[in-house]
Amino acid sequence: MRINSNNQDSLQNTQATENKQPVQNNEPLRQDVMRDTAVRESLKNPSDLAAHVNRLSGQFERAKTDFEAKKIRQQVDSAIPTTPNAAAMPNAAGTKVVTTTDVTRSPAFDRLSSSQKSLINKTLSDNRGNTQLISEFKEMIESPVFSRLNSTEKGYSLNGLAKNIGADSADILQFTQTPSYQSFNRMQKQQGQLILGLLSADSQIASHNPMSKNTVKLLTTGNVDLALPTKAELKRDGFTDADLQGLYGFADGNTMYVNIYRPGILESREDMVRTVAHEINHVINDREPGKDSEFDTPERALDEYRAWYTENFAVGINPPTVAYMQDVYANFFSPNAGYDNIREVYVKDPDFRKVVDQIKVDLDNGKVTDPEAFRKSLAALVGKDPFIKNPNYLTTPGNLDNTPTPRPRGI
Amino acid sequence: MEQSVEKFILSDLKERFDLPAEKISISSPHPTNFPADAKLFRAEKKGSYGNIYYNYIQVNGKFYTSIDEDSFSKLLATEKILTRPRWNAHQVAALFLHLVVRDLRLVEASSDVSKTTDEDFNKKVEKITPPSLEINGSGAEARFWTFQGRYQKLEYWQVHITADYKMSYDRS
Repeated sequence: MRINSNNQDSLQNTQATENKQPVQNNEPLRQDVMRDTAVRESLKNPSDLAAHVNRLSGQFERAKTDFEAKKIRQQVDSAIPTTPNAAAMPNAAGTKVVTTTDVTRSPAFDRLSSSQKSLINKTLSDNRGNTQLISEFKEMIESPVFSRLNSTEKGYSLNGLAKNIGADSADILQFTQTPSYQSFNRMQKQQGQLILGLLSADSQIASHNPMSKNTVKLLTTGNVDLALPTKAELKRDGFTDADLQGLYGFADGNTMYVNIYRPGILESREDMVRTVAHEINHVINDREPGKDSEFDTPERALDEYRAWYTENFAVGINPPTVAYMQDVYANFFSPNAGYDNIREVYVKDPDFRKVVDQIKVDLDNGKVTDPEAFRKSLAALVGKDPFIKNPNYLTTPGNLDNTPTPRPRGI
Repeated sequence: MEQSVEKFILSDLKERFDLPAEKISISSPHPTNFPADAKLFRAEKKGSYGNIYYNYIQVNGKFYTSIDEDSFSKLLATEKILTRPRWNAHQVAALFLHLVVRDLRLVEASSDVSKTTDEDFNKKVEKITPPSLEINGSGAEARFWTFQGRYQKLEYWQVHITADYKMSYDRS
């Protein structure tokens, strides 16, 4: 898959094309295509070539940060005549079957360091017959974005793919174009690619979507920033040593922070996926000024309830189980609640308590209340409940699957 | 909330982290099991979705904060809980869960946690008991269980207080 090396916000690009504005930056794609000798020879009329490239470029721009980009890339590839001596042979269905030798005998492979070659060889050997993995390595090392990385960063990207079988090479490379990645030091870049690879691999599981793919998309397009804070920074943010032993990550403003000091942070994929989906759900629901959830309000309770509920979508559970939501309920509203501030609203606000008590009654009867039903019940209290500080938050439908929304200006 | 308390907390956060007052909201929740003579204040960074916050506990006019790793020990030492015990096991656990580790739910019985299909987890759930506190000549030991729902993490805490109020803990 082609990677967008121009780090514009994908949503801005999408909006531009939706408004039928001309695509401004198709030069990288044009140059790539023009470089292909076969194309130049086969398309005799330069105006045909330009029109063809422009049409494909327009499609590609619309989708370049979308997961449909892979399909568009295939269209670009199919428009380029393959040379008769191409290493890949067609299978019975007429599609290319990529083999290990397509990777290991390619010029791109030759340019890698010996340790990078060893990594690819070992990973392919350990995963013999995994044609998708072969394709991902091939796409990665042949990508123009990859070629522009320095050798160390190439190693990090390859490692992110090798350690997370099933990851999309495009996600890993796209992430290198974000301001987050570019602000990282070497250790953070290495860790960041392992984390991104983990999330990407998970997002390929059909039942985890659209939640997981949307979450990855937000991170790889720079719509939501990723940060890997130092221990001192985590302490500054109030986390205690004992907190850090259990903390996977948290969101603040427009940034997802991952605690790389947590023992075994990369060993439990489900915990990481849940955490990131949960925290980014806060970001995506609270990013409009005046529509955020304030503390000690029913709005905050809704925000937290929705994040706990929808993180399950990222691991293929929809709706969450009654048992899970009973634990969530206890963590919010029971006398020993982990959330002091949400419990406080429950105790002080009789209107809110009535709504919440109904959730408990329903749970006891085996029924889980979805976040939108909860929101609508709270919206009905607007104008009556003095504890509601931000009515807009309750009257606006929530974002349940981390569908990207425009990144606010100035953050 | 008293203005002097708010002023103290804002000034402390400004001094420690250069956090401006306009970025902080302070509330005063009333957790169950908190000692009657202890007041909890929660200073939260605005826009952090409740993730970034600092607990301050005021007892007898003195403040103890989750920012300092030794706050819990200092609180117990100042209040001389070994020689003048007045807080029960639930209260000591509640103080620990606001100064040493946060965001965990105290559980007291197997019925406090939903069982799963994981038999090992369910066996552990059956072991849950109410908090206990034992004070003797050589110090004190508090024991209690907590649960984190997202990761299905059920933990047993054993908090050791030596005669000179040094604190350590085991979690398993």
